[in-house]
Amino acid sequence: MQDNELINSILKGNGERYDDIVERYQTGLYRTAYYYAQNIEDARDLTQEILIKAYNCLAGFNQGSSFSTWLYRIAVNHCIDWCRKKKPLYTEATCLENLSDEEGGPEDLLLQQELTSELQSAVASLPEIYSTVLILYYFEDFSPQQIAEIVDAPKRTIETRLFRARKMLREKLHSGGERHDLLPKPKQLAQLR
Amino acid sequence: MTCYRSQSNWHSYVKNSLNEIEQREMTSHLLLCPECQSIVSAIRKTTATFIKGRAILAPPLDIKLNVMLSINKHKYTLSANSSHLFELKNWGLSMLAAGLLLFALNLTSLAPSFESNQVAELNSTLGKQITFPFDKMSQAAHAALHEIDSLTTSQPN
Repeated sequence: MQDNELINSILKGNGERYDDIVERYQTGLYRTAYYYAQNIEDARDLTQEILIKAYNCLAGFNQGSSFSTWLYRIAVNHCIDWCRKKKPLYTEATCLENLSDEEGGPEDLLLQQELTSELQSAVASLPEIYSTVLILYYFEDFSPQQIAEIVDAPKRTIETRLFRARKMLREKLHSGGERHDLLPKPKQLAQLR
Repeated sequence: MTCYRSQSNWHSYVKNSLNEIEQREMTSHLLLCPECQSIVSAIRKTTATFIKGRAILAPPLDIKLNVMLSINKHKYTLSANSSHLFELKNWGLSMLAAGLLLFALNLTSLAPSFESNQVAELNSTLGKQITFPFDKMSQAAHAALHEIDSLTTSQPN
């Protein structure tokens, strides 16, 4: 069932159908919240709050527009507000048990975890306007047009922010190294140390 | 950067989110411009690195449970019902107004059938009915004033 059909059904009084919306979006929202919160406890709370907030505001959703864009707008604003009010008490590297069972041995998994952790802290260290576009474009696979709708900015601005954010990220990851326009692969990252 | 298109919509291009004409134009440009080729290549490599470095997190099972327990599942049932009642109320009021209008029209159509003396009789009856309460009211007012007067005069100085 399409998002809009589900929402129509919820707005007609079938509140239990929200279960399907939660199922559909919780993974992406949890991941997004995790990039802002930097720990799984706060990410879980943020995801719950976002989903509850979205349910309570559902009557205000314009059914001619995209639900995912609308939902992520709530999510991004909620996470940014949370970051401004409360700095994370602690940050944690993504635990091994939180990573899916990808193919490869323990060494690959460790390198993978290292890259994830490195990228995560580099993205989190950027100013929020840049980290937001990176999270939405590279991690959540939104197009610049969709990001423009989520953060309520012109598409051109998003393109510019993406260029700048990538440049800043490259500088963070390479610490002014000689490689350009390429982020390191897991093994290369390990060699950099 | 020397190419006029180096700051173009290359991120949109990589996501295939441009319209067909723009996408085609940028592809043609890309074939001829090494500078833009390197930009697109860098975006694609960054995308690949991010996909590799993406935290593949499984959301805790209790998220769905907690959300479904926290929301008021009847929130929109109530509003749907109240809007339905509002519609019914409006409909009822409209019907009442229409009925009153029809009644008034019927009365005016009956009016010419009255004899002139019947109208005069009706007027005087109505006049009596209206003046009767006024008479009563003025009597009551006089009595009250008289009572007040007697109270003020009987008060010791």
